[in-house]
Amino acid sequence: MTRTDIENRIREIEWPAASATLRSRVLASAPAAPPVTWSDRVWFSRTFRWSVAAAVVALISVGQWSGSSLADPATAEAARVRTLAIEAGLPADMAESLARQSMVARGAQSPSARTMALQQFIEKDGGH
Amino acid sequence: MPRERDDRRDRQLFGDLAAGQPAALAEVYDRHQAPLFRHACALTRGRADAEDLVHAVFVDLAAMGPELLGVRQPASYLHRMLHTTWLDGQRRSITGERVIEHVASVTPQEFLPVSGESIDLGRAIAMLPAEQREVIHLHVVEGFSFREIGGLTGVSMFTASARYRLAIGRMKQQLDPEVPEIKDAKDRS
Repeated sequence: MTRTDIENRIREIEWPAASATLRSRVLASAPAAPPVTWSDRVWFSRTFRWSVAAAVVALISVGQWSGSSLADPATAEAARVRTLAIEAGLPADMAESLARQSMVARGAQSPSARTMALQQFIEKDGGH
Repeated sequence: MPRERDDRRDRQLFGDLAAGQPAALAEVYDRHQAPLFRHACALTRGRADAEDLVHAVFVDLAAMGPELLGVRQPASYLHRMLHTTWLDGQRRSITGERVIEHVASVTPQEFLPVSGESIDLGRAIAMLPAEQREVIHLHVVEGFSFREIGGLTGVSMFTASARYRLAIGRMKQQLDPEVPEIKDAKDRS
């Protein structure tokens, strides 16, 4: 006897049916449910739940994007170069130009090496 | 016997029921009482207990209210409610809050079919542990997958499948004594 034989024979079994009185018992004793409010409908709505999930994902990605632009190493280094140049006595437009150049030249050297090179140049030049 | 489940209509009815329409409960009952009663019979092996179980499920359902709006698969949900209600009853009887000693005393013949060949099969099913009877019923008769059965009985898909294999093996052994006996040491759940 195979499993399929047993399954087919189980399907042929006539299972008992509930008595007719059970229906009336159920309907007679069913309590009144608490009323459904609009907030319940919103909370249990699938559209609402998907919208919340989408909003959370959007907020997280926007937060990451804005955070990453602030923490962009190239921008930070350019700002450092600008500050250093101004502190060394260079005029503001030259400091700005140096900062821009450091951003353009980014990739050729490591940021710390570029800053050190700039520092050496300023020391050698004596701020003039 | 397994039939297509119309979840969309059931969800509408659950929504109407949550809104307090008594006609919705009647329709939900008419649509689901037969499979639920069969499930209850598989668990309890007694008609009176099965009716009490089904009654408790529908009364709980009617009292549920807004939670019904969040139900996505009403048929599975009802079977899960029935399983949980039965389990609660078992726990109460074990802790002594209620004394239900009838399970062992109920004669399985109450549910046996009329034809001669199937009587042995009915006895074989009745002799299985409740968890195995349940999985046999839900899979073969109601057409639930093992994943669904796992979900509605609170076990993994693999446990549900193992219970099924064990039950089939035991029935084979009972229907045909020449089949070697099944060892069920692994089925601890």
